Amino acid sequence: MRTFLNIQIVIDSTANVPEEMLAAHANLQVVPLKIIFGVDEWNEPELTTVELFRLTREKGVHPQTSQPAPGDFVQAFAPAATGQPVIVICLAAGLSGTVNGAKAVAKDFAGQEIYVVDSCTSAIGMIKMAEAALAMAAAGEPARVIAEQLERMAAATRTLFIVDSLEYLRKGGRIGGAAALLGSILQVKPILTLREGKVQVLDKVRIKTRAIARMLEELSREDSLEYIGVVYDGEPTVVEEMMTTIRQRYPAIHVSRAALGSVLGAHLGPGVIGLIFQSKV
Amino acid sequence: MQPSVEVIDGKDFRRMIAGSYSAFMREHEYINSLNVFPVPDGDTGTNMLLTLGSVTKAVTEAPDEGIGSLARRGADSAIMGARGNSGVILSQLLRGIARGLSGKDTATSTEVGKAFQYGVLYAYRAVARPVEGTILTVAKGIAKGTYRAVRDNATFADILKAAINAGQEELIRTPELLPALKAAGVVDAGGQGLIVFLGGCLEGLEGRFTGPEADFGRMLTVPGITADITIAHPYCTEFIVKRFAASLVEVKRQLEQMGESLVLAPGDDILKVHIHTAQPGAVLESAIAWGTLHDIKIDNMADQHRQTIELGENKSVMPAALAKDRAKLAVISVAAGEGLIAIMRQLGANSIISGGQTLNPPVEEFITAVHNGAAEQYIILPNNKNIVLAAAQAKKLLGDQVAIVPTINIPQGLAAILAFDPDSQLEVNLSRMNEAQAAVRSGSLTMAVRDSTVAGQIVPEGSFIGVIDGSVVVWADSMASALKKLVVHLVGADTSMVSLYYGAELAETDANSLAEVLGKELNGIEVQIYFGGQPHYQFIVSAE
Repeated sequence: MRTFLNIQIVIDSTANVPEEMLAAHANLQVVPLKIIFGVDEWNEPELTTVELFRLTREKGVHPQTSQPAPGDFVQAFAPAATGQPVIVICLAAGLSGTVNGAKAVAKDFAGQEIYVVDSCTSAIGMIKMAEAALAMAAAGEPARVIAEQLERMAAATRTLFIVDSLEYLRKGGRIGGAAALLGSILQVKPILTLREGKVQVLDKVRIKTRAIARMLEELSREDSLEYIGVVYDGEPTVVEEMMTTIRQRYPAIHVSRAALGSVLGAHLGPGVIGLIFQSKV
Repeated sequence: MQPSVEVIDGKDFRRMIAGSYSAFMREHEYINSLNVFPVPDGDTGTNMLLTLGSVTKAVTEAPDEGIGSLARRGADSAIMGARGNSGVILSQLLRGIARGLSGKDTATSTEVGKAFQYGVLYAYRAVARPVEGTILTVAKGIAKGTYRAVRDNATFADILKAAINAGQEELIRTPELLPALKAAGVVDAGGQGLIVFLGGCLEGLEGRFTGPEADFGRMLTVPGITADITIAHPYCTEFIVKRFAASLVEVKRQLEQMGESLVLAPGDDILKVHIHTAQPGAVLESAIAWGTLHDIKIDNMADQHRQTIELGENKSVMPAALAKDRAKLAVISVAAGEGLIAIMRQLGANSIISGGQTLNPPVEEFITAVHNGAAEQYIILPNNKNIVLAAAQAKKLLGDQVAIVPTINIPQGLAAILAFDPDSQLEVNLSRMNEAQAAVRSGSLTMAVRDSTVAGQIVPEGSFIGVIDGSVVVWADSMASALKKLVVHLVGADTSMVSLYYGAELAETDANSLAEVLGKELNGIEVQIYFGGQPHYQFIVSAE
């Protein structure tokens, strides 16, 4: 059953919000980022990562991405003009200009309640924030309080991931400094993390299984976990094993998994395995 | 009767050094054969020969001068040319001798005897953890013999004879003190080297050595720089401050702002300065305040890419510093084998010094690598037990510019490079790299070069032997089963990966099929195989 609430939650498409969640909340809407191959452009939800990587191979060009068109934000913010507060949850500023784009559009809505939150993560991390926002709104919390809570959640969220190769991050210019020079000799897998919104190397570990173990080791250093999320592209067996291990180790904590969206796919390349978790705030 | 040499001068010293070099030309192969383990490693004789080669070259090419400054030249070049642990110990011996002869034009036999005692003391101090049954036991014996002969006012030839006799008595005892020597049926190679050194000195002193002409071609090879370069600090400026009366810390602070490749070598109220600078005048102006200035040399390094400069009183070849964007921190790693060198480069080592188990690089090569100037500070990975001391010697000369992570094998070195992050602080890197290298278990597989006894059992020559931490732990007739035994030995409950680096003598297909078999047998452990290209060792193995 649909409920109508006056606080609007806007989330960008990199969260990869499940259909059921969208269907259940009339006050939740998705603003799409774009995938661009030369002159062809897709809204993110129209393209799976399988199709994305197939197109990359076929076209022989590296996919580009684009933040949502300002018009999409204008449309999403329309309820603000009628006095309904809007909370916008965007992927990490270091990965995309979406946060800044949203903030720029929000300025045109002077005097109206629009809160743009940098999630400092993406994917499941953003979905968890949207869930919290929806629940708080349903409980009658004011938008400002919700936005502040989301900021705290963002600060308490950690995002770790490994990729098959650093090629996509390098080509997209999303990894810099010494990390960009890392080769794949000895099957070195850098454990990547989003720190201050940027992709940084947490550690370097050889071979995938040990890299996953290293991510789980980082998870074990967290005391009071709110949730654990696994994001992946391809390789269901490895992910399945990882899920089993996590569930065994953290029987009391909610664990979820989700496939990677195509914009993150374009940023990170195939074979991503990510671990997103938040300590209680 | 031999002629007694009561007054010993520079010419005598020169003959003694030439005599010892000649003795090593003759004896180094024998010293090499005094191997504790039946593995092809630790070429003590070659290392001492090459170290003495640097000394002989410096002393031979020096102008006629007093015994004190000649000894100093010899010691300085030994420090730069030292290879392997035995070479470093020898260089310290020569440093002590130079200290004892310091400032002297000629010396009495008593004075030279005392200088040799100093030398033994310095050699002793060079080793962090003295172990009896090694070169140090022999050094102590030599010191005792020398002491007695000096006390008895013997001629220097007799002092040397007494030293040799006393040293030899101790040398014969080394197998009793160190079970590993006894099991191998050999005496300590470094101790034998000391005796050869003294014997050579005696032959030289008495003018009766008949060695081949010295061949210095193997010494002092430094990679040249051929690329077009611009030099930010073109003037290689060197001088000695005598009656030095300033704070070393303050001097360092001042000079560091004026250029690069700074080397400060303090002595007793004397300081040697070496710096590459754009303003040599300003450097000298500052230095006047610290004492009196001597032996001032200023060379424009732009005149030639390879420039011979004088470092202290010692001749060494150094490439000009490169003026490019310097990294804060870089890694210098030692490896032998093209595969391993390529792997280290790709993992991010800035420069690789060629060397390993059977080819220990001289201290000078570390200095050269640092002087290439690619970074402000360097972390050295010796990757071999017998290279650790040479790296430490380089650190002594270069000071804070250099830090060492004392890796003693290749897998430790690889783990350390992997943990290196050029964007982090030195201290952070050192702690992470030390932690990473300590977590690796590794061993190597080679062929026994002679019959030996391990744990009461005979291991025949030609067997494949697995070596961990310098000890033979497994052996077998076939490579495959020795490799399997070695790997099983290394694998622990928490092992998730075994890495094999195959040597130069092995074909890729053979190595791959061995790895494949191993992978099937080790359930749940990933086996990785890479081309290492190292000499002598069919496999270097690590378990993590």
